[in-house]
Amino acid sequence: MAILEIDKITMRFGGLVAVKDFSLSLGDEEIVAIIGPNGAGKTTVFNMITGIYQPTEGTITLGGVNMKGKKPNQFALQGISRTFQNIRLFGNVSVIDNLMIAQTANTKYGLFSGFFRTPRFMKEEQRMAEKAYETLKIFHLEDKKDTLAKNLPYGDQRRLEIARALITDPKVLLLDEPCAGMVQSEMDDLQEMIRFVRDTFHISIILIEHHMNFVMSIADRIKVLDFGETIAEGVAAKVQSDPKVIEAYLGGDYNADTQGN
Amino acid sequence: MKIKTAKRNIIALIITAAVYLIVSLLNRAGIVTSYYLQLIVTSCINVCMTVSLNLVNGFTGQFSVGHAGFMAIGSYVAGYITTELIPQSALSGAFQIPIFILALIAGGVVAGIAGALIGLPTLRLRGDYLAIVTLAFGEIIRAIIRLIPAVGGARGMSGIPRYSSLLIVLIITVIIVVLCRNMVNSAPGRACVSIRENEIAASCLGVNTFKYKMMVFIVAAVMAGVAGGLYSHALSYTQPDLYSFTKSCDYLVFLYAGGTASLTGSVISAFVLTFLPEVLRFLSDWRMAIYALLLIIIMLRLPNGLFGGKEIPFMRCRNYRLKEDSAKQ
Repeated sequence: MAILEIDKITMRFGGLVAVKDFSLSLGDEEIVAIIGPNGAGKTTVFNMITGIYQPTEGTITLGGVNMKGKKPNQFALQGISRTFQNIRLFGNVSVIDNLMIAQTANTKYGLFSGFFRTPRFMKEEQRMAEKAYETLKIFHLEDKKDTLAKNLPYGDQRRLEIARALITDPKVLLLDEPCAGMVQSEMDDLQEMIRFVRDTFHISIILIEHHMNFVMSIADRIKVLDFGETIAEGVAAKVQSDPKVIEAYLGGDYNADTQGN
Repeated sequence: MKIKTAKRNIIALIITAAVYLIVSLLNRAGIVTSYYLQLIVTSCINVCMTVSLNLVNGFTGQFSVGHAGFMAIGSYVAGYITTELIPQSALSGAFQIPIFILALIAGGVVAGIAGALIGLPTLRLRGDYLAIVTLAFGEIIRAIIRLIPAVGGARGMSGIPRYSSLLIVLIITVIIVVLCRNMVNSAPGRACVSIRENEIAASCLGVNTFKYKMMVFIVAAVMAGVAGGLYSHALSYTQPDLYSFTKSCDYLVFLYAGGTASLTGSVISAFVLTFLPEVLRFLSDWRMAIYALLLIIIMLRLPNGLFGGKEIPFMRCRNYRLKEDSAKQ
């Protein structure tokens, strides 16, 4: 059974239909890319899958649980984790503490232990710190663990955000434009890292991205959105040659046949 | 590291004991008058108020403006217990302090319940709602107290035993500051900071933002309630107008002058700003003008407050030691 089952979700803001009848069945260790022009509703889909928006219609089933009416933190507990298009790190907090915060839901002590620094508190803190450090190592950030997140270079911030999303032990990882602002070599590194993450942690990934080369080489499946509607889906080659996709990206009058001559 | 924090705690304890001994010796020698003794007690109470307000406004990034309301509840509940329910005359000396401690706890608990009642509807929302509701709460509490004849109405309650000795106030202040420090350096404290930094990201990582906002708000209310109990037993009377909006504003001033998200800043600024108007008393009419001027200079020169976000080593805790760190040293 699919880990994430999205059945015809629709999001309306007043009269505006941002996303219409979006469906997706995400398999284990699958990488799905959502592409589409600006304003197509890609991020709105992410916001629905993470509980920030409640879909107007349709259902989201995560690990067999219907997520209707659930809050973002409950989505996270069900095994979904994400990064944001505009990076949302905890800027005034050190790099390692960003990862400590992300483990809050898995912390096995409460306010009382925190107040009195009980042995259990010390043990848990040590465990979480070690896990945070191991995760930082994967993303080559271990030397910067005490830097404030806001002082990191842009590429490091992006990687820290992915690290932070991963440390919650998700089953599904959502990446919202992970390559934004990256140069080609960084994108190549990221691509390798995403594959590594999928293979090591056995998770499924949905990503939104504009860099076509990146998407085409990494995604098992691609879904194309335009004005909130799914206009194409399938493997890279199929989507690339779909006339509807070409129309959405290059405009209505574009004719693939005549342009070729 | 555990041992290191324990060592710091012991050092802090020794310093506290030394301060107490020196001050009480100087008092006995007649150098520190009881007027200054009272000022130190008031400063300590203000420290408790400011650090607890810092938990909500500084670390969690919410905006509560009615902190004196919780203080009022604590002061009245504790005062009522020690004056009316179990008066000093009915107690032998040995029981006075335990009863006082119980009264303080009761005051804290009732203030915490009030905090929970306010937090439940408002902390679900984002934005300025908390400020609006806490502002109203501070005023409503005073109005309600005025209507209760059992605690003296608008006249207030007098004849409260002077249980708040320098020693007790110092000990409770240290306990409250240490508890605040430990909370800030624990998972619940970090969760609170994540709410301030980015609430949406925090909730997407599984942080139950409402739960932690409630938690920190209640903790702050309990601490303010305890501080209120100390206050009424230091003044030996209590009155609704002591806890007006100006009082809440005082704590906001202490907090922002000391620097948000810095317990060190709160402690120091509560002490300095409590003493300052008294030290400047020789300027008579000009003292409040100078006080205001100093605040303006702090705002201009140090927009983040004296210690914005920074702490002295005592306020930081090492909770873990990474192998790689110890290998490097």
